Amino acid sequence: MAPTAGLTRATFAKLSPHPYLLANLEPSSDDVPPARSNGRAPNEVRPPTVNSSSLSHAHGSAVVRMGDTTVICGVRGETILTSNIPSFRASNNETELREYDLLVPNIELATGCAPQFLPGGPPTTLAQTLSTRIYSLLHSSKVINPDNLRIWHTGAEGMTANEDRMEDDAPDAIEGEKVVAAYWVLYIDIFFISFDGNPFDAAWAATMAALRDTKLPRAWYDADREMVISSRKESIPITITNIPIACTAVVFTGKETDRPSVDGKFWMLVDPDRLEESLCDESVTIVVDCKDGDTRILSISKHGGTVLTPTLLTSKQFLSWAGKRWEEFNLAIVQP
Amino acid sequence: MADRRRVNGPGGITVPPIYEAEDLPLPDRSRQPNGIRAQYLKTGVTPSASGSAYLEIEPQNGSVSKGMKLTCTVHGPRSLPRSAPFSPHMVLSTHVKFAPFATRQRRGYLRDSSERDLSTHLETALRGALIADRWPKSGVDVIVTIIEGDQARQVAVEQGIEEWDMMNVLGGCITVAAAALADAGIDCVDTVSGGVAALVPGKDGEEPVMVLDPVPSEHEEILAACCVAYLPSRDEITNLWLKGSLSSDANLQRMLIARAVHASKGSSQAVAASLTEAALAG
Amino acid sequence: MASQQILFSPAELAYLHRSLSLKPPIRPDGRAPTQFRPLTAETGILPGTNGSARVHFSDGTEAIVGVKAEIEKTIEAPRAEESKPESNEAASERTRGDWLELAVEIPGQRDDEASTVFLSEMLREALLADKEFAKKLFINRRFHWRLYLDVLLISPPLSYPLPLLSLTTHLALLATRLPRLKSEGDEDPMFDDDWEASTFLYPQEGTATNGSRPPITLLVVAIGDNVIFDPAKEELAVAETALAVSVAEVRRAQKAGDMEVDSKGRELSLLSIRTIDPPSRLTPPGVPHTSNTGSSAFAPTKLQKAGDQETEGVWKAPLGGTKFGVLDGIIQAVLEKGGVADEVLDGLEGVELS
Repeated sequence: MAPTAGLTRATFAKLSPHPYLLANLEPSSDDVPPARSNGRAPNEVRPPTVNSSSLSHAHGSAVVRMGDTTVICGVRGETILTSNIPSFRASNNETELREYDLLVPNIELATGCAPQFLPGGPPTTLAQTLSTRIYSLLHSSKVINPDNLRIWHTGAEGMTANEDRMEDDAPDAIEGEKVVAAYWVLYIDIFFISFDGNPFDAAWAATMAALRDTKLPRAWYDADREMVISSRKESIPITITNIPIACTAVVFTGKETDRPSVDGKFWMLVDPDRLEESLCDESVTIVVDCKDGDTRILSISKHGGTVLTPTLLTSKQFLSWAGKRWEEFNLAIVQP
Repeated sequence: MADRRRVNGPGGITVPPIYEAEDLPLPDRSRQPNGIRAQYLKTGVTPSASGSAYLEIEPQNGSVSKGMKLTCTVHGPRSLPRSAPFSPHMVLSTHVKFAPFATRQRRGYLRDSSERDLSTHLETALRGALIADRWPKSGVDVIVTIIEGDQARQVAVEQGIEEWDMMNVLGGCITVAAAALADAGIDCVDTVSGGVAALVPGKDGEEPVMVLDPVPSEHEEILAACCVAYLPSRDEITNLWLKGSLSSDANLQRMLIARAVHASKGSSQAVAASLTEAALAG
Repeated sequence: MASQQILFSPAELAYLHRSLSLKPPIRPDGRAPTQFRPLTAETGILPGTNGSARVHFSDGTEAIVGVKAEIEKTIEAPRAEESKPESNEAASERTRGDWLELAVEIPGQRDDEASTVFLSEMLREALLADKEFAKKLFINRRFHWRLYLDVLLISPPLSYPLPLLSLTTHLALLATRLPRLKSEGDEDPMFDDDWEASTFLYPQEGTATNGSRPPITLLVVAIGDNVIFDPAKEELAVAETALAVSVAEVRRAQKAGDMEVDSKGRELSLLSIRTIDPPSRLTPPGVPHTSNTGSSAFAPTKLQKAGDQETEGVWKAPLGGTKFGVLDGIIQAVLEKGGVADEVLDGLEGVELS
C-alpha cells in the first residue's frame, strides 16, 4: 500500500489504521475488489459457531464464536418464593418477568479478553451498557414465556384457608386451588473469553443459545417446610420458539472525525472487529426475527454520527443483511 | 449494598434448587492411585492478548467429576504506569476468578478471600519461574478465569470438602498460566507445572493410601493434600502448599510431596506437547 | 509481601547473604540460627473478650488478639428428605469450618489486600486443619459457638508479621474460656453466668488435655545451606526460600503403667506448609565491576555474558525454585524432637493464663 515509505503492510496498518482501511476500501486499481483490513468484503460477516451444553453446573450454557470473539454464557436457575417478592400480586400474569425482575443478565468483560479490559476495577461503561441492553431486549422481545418460570402449588386437602392465613407470608393455598408459590429466577452470566469487536451480537446470540439449552428441574412447593423442592431426574426445557438475532454495522467515513466526508462517501462495515470499532463513531444495531419469510424488527438502535438516514435504515439492502445474519445464526444455534 | 453497576435481580432472597433425597451412589475412584486425568491444553485462544491458554481436565466416565475448564490470558510486558515506583524487575500481578457458573453455588462478581488466596499462591509459583530482571520497569498481568470448577456435589459444600478442591484448582491455574506465559514469549527458566497428591483413608480400614490428582468427591475423606509448582528441567519447586493433619512421621510428608511432584510431571508433558504443537503450527 | 519495599543496596544484600551462608551463619542481630527473637507475652488483657493475648517482640513489633464467642443457631443443611434424628456424635461430625471467623488487621494495609488475605487464610487453615477444633464449638444439634478471632498488629509491619501473629493467636486461644453449659440435650442452651466456672476451650489439666493443642506457625528461611528460624527483615531480604510451617502439639492419653514420662517427648503433628514469596526476588541486582559501562569500552559484550552467571560477591536476586532436599531439610528442622517448635511451645507454656 505504501511502497515508497518502505513500510510493511502490517507496520502501516498499525501506525495509521485509518488511511490503511480507507486505502483497502478504495483500491487504486479496479481489478482489486474493495475489502476491509481484515480481508472481508464490507458486508461480509464472520461465520458463527455455537456449542451448547458444555458446562455441567449451569442449567443451560453455550459458547459462541465469531472469528476471534468468543463468548461463553451460563444460565442458572434459582427459586424465589412469592412471599419474598414485595410487589407480588397473584392477579398479575402479564408483566411478571419485568416486575419481579426474574431475568438477571450480567456481562463480564474483565477477564483479560482484550488489553483494555483488565480485572481489578468496577465493570467498565461498555460492560454496564451491554448488560442493560441485553436486559431490556430480553424483556421487550418476550422470548421467555413466563409460564416456564412459574412453580405451581395446589393447596392440600383438609387444610382450611384460615390455618393457612396464620402464617402471613405463606402463599395462600386454598383447598384445591392452584396458585403460583414460587418463581424461577434466571441468572444469565455472560463471560467474554476473547474480544474482537461486535460484543453485543455475540453476547445476545450466546444468551439465546444458552436459554434454548436451559432445562430447569421439575420443582414443586413443599408447604410443610415452606420451600421449593426440585427433582434431580426430571427436567423441563424452557420453550424458546423464536430466536431473534442482532446484527451490528459500523459506519466508516474515511475521516478521523465524526463529520461526514466532503463527498458524503461512507462505507457500512457489517460485524466489525476491534480495530474497525475503534475507527468508527457511528454504529447501528438491528434485532430481527424472521418467520415464514417475514422479517420482524424488534429493535433498532443507532449511536453517534449523522450519516445514516431513515431511508437507509429501512432499505431492502440493510434488512437483507440482517435477514441473512438471522438465518446463519439460527442454523448454528438450532443444529449445533 | 447492592452493586449498582450490575444487574442484581430481585430484591428478595433467591435460593439455588434444593433437590429431593439424594441417593446418588458415592462413586469410587476408578483410576489407579498413580493415574492422573487426561489434560487438554491449547494456547492462543485469545488473540488480542500477548499470550493465552485454555486447559481442560477431562471428565471421568461414570464419575461425578465433571472435569475442569480454565482459561488464562497474559497481558504485557508493558510499561508500568507513571505513578508506579521504579522496579528493576518485571512486576507480576496475578488475578484468579471463578465464573459465577463455575461451581455448585453461584459465585458473586466480587472476588472472595479464597480467590485472592489462590492469586497469591499463583504469584509465588510463577515468580520463581520468571526471569524477571530481563524486563525492568515493566509489568505483566496474568488473569486466570475458572469456567468450570471441579466440585460436583452438594455434599461437598456441606462437608467443607470444597476447601480441598482449591488445591486442584491451583494446580490447574499454575499449569494454564505457565502455558500462557510461554505463549506470550516471556522468559522463564522453565515452564512450571502444577501437581496435586492426597492422602486418603484406605478401604475397609486399611492403611491410608496416596493418590495422585485426587477428586475430593470420590473420597469419603481427605487426610492431607499437597499441591506443588514444579520446574521439571531444574528439578525445583517454586510453590509448595500442604495442608492436613499429618503425624510427625517424616516419611509421610516426604512421600506426599514426592507424589505431587510426580503428578506435576504429567501436567508438564501436556504443556510441552501443546507448546510443541503450537510451535510446529507456526 | 511484595508490597514491602526493600531498601537495601546490592552491596548490603551481598554482604548479608555471604555472612548468612557461612557455617555457622552470622546473623545481623547475633542470634543462633534456631533462636527466636526474645518476646514478652501476656494474656487476658481485654476484659470484654472470651480470651485475649498480647505479644511484644524485641524488634518493636507488637500484636494483640481478641477472641469473642457468640451462640449461633446451626442452620440445618437444606435437605429435601425429612431429617432423621441422628445421634449426637453424627451431628457433631457435621461441623463447619465457617464457624470460625478470622480477621487480620495490619496497619497501612487494606484488609482485602492479597497479602493480608494470605496471612489470614494461613492462620485459619492451620486452625481448621485439625478437625478437632470445629468440634470444640459444638453445643448441641441446634446450636454452636461462633468464634470471632480478631488479630491486630498494632505496630507498623517492620518484619513479616506471621510468627508474631501466630504466637499471639496461639496464646489467645489457650486463654479462651467459654461459659459452662447448664442446659442439657437439644434444648436452648443456658449458661452459668459465673465466669469462675467457665471452661477453657483448650482444657488446662486433667485427662481432657488430651488431643491437639492450638497450632503455631513458624517462618523458616533457607540461605545457602543454612536453615534459619524467625528471620528478621534483613534476613528475609536475602532468603532463597521461605516456608511457613504450622505445627500443633498432640497430647495422647498416658497409660497408667507408663511411668516413663518423657517431658521432652512432645508429639508434633504437621498441619500445613505454605511457600512464602521471598522478597529477595524483587531486590535490585548488583553490577559487576567488569561490566560497568563506565569503566570499560567493551562492556556491552561482557554484560551479556555476565548476565547469566553469578559473579562472586555481586548480588543477584535468586532465580528458579527450591530443591526438594532443601524443603525437606526445613521441614525436618521444624519437626525435630526437642527442636525449635518444642522450644517455642515450652516458652509459651510458661505464660500465665489469666
